[in-house]
Amino acid sequence: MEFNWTKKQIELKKKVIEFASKKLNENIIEQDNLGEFPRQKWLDCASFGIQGAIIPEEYNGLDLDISSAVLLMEGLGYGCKDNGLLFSINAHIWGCEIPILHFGTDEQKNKYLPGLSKGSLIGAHGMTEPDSGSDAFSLKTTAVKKGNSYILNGRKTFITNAPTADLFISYARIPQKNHRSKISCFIVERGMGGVSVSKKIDKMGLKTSPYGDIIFEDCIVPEENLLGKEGLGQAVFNNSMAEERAFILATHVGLMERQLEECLSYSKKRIQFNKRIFKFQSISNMLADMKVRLEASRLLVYKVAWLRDQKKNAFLDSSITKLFVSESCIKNSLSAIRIYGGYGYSTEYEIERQLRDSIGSVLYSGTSEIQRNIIAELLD
Amino acid sequence: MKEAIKQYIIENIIREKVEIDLNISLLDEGIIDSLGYLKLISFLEKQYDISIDLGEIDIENFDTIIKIAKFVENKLDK
Repeated sequence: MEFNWTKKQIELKKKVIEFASKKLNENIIEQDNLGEFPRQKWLDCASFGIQGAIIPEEYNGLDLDISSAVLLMEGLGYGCKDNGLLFSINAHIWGCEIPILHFGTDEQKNKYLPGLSKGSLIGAHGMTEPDSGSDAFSLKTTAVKKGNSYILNGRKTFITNAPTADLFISYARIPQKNHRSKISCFIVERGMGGVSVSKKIDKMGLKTSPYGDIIFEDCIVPEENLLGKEGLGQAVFNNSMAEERAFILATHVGLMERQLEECLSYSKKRIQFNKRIFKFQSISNMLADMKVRLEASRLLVYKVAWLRDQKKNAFLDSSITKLFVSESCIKNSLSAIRIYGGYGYSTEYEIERQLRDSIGSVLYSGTSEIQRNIIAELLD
Repeated sequence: MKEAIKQYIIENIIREKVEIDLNISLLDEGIIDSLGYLKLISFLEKQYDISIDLGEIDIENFDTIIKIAKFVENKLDK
């Protein structure tokens, strides 16, 4: 396995770090307090090309391979301290762009990918329902064919970007005879009759990433907005999750790297009992563990990227990566607070927010418990 | 090949001594769930040295054991 990046890849990473550091780190504390979506920063990211990272050039994208996109996102995570913004971008790319890119008709790709790539359209991925989270395919939303349309009824909950999104990739059951149904996927536009979005749901972390419910009440979706074929819903979802599980955490690798650097710097300056706290084993051990988790996380993410670039099956590796990197991010964020002590607990130093933001990572894209189930099953 | 696929499904996914009709819809009858499909794909890739993209897993290719076997045979012919 080749571990060297090309000059072009390294250059892109440097550029995104420079861009993110200069343009994306103002007013985060205030926006986090208010739960405000940073729309201008979103557009700035799109201008850089981030939302179009994996979109082909013909649709205004950067057309990066997966490995290059992962390195770009790692750099973004290193340079940008707004984890909520990064989470919204990730949900948009892996939850909305990927399904359309992999399963969309040419008409659907032409209609939606340019806007998604430019950031003028915001995407959301609507799977979770009030009664179906981990048990995703027990969803209840229905889609009944009527003439040239499908009529959707149901509710999706905890949907990232829902309050601001223009497109909702939505999963619903098309009833068949004999009480069967086919889980299918639809591209629902905000302006379609019968779709509404609840008010923003407040949450523990990732507060600048808006989150809410999508409600379908006799929502009329034209048949040309069926994504894939009837019954392809599970394949669309699994494909999207297999990519999302690993790649959504590329930004976490960048975060952990910046976090470690900041903790190292602080521990070498902070004097207690007449010596730098770095010299106390309890602190240096924490830093050592942070480094181990960071480097192991990095390699796991790179491996999945490499497998996907080779078009190889990465089910097991995606779940391993999701489990390990998300849990590592929480541990490293907690260690960072402990290294900074009282300063780490205060909002001003932006350390506590990293822990609040990282907790979500063991819940979204499949909980750690589900990842363990998947890993165990695939080992069997 | 159909028998090998059937045996794998019985022994590793259903894990009970049952009979499965080669023409029965595995999805509609709830015989395999999404995790079961991931396991089946991993088995088919290793057993027959083929590569299967997630986008190929649709009801036309993977709904019945007969369709799965035909899909694999087409892959091998290529």
